[in-house]
Amino acid sequence: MDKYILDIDIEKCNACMRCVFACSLARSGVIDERQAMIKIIVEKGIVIDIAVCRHCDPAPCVNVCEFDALRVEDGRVVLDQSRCTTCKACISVCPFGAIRESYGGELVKCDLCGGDPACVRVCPTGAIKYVPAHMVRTRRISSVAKTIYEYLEKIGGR
Amino acid sequence: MKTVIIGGGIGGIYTAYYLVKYGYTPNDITVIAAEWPPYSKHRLAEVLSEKLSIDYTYIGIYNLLLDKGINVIHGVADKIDITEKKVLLKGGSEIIYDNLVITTGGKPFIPPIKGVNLDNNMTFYDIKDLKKLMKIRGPLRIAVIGAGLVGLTAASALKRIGASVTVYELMEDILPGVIDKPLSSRLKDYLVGKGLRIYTGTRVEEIIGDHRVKGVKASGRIDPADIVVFATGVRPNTGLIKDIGIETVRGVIKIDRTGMTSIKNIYAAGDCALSHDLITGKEVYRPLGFVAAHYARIIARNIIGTKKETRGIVPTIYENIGGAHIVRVGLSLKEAESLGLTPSIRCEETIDQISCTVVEDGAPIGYEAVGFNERIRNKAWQVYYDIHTLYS
Repeated sequence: MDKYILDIDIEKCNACMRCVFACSLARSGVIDERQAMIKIIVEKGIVIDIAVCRHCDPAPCVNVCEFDALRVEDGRVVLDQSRCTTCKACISVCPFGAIRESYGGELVKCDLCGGDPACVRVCPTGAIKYVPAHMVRTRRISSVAKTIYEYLEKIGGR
Repeated sequence: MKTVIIGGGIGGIYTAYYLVKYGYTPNDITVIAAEWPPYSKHRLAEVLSEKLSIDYTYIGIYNLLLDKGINVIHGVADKIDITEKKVLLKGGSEIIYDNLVITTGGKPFIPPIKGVNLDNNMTFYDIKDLKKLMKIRGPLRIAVIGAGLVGLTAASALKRIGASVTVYELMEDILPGVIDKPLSSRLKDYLVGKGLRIYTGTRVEEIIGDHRVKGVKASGRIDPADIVVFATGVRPNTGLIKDIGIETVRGVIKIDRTGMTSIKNIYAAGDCALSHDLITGKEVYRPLGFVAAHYARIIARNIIGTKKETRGIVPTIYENIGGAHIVRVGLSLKEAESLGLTPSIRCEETIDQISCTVVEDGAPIGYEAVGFNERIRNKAWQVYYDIHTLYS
C-alpha cells in the first residue's frame, strides 16, 4: 500500500484554526493550542507556514535521536513518549519546526492520527490534504525533504 | 554473563534499555541506583514554571525495563573490587559482575567563594533542588549565578513563577561555549527586555548573610537576595573509581571508541566520562544527556558482542529560553578554537532572527541560531548532514 502523508498548501490556508483545535481535541480531548501538533504560523497577518510533521523518510529527527524515541513506522515518523527525555536534539534539526514542547516539557509531533488525520477532516479550504506520498514529492513539497534524502543516500543513513 | 550498571541516570538506564533491545537477558542486568525512578533534568524548569507534578520529570522506560525483568538495587556503590570482579554496596552487600558499566554521572560545581555554605544557597541540578524551589511562595529575590543553559532556563522559569531574578555571569557574554558573540548579545538584549536582570563580565565575590543568604556581592556592588542558585557547571562524579587504576583525565574517566575504560570489561558513559568529538576526533567533556545515551548504545552493542566503535558526537542543542529559540549544531566558534581549529563565522541577521555558520577551511563545522518569533527558520539540519558527510 502506498504511504500517505499530509500535503500542505499554505496559499489556501485562511488561519481559521480548525485544524489546530481538531488536532488538540484528537490528541488530548481538550481544545488547547499547546497540545496541538500542528501550528499555523502567521506573520504580519499573512499565513507563512503550517508547521506540522512532513514525515520525512529518512528523517533528520530520527537520525539524531540517541534515545530510540523516534522511528519510522509504516511510513510515519512516530515519537514514543516513554523513551523521550526531552533533550530536544530533534527540534534543533527539524526543517519544518514540527516538533513542539507541550506541558512539562513533553514533546509532541504529528502521528497522522493513525491514518485518519483530524486536521484534514475539518480543513474547509483544502490547505491540508492526506495524499499518497509520491504525489507530494513530485509536486511541491519539499525541496528540503529531497535534499535530506540525497544527503542520507550519500552518507548511508546512520 | 552478568552486567552491573552503577548509576540510574540517563547513561545507566539507556545502557540497560539498549542491552535489552539487542537481546541481552534482562535478568542478567542489575542497575544500582541511588535515585529511582529515573528522571530527566531537561524537564525540571518546565515542571517548576508550570507548577506540575514531579511525575512529569520521570522517564517512561523504567517501567518497560522493570516489566522486562531487569534488577534494580536502590542503593549506593561503595567500592569496586576489580580482581574479584565485584561491587560492594554501602550497607555491606556485594554483587558479582562480568561486565561493569560506570554511569555515576556528575555533580554540580560550586565555586569556592565566601558564604556559599549559608542557608538558601542551592543548585538547579536535581529533583531535590526542584522540590525546594517548588515550595517558594511570594515575590522572592533570587540570584542565579551562571548564564549557561541551566542558569538561563532556571532564571526564566523562576521569573515565570513570580520571583525577581538577577543573573550573574563571569564571562563577557551569556551562554558562553554554547553560542557566540553576535547571537548572545541579541539574546541578552531580548531577555533583559523580558525583565531579567543580567550582569555579564561580573565576578560574584561573596554571598552575604548571617545564617541565611541576604545578598550577593559582585564586582564591588551588593544586591539583596533571598535565595542564591548556582548554575556554575558540572564536574564528574568519579570518587568511586579513585585508586582502582582506571585512567582519568582531570577526574574524568577516559574511554575508547567502544566506551571501554582502561580496564577490560569496565565501561563508562555520561557525565562521569569523556566523549569523542566527531569533527576533530578529540576527547572532550560534554556533560549532556544525548552524549550519555549515544555511548550507552555503543556500550550495549559491545557487551553483546557486535563490535561497534563510535565515530564521535556532533552536538545538537535546542532550548527555548523566555520565548527565544536557541539552536546549536556542531561546534561553536569558541569551542572550535579551543579544539585547535582556526574557524571563521558568517552571520545573517534579520529583525527576528540571527543565524551564524561556523566555517573551517571553507567547510561548515557548526551552526547557531537565535530566533525571537513563533518559529525559527532553521538550517541546522543541513549543517548537521554536511558535517556527517564531510567528517565521517
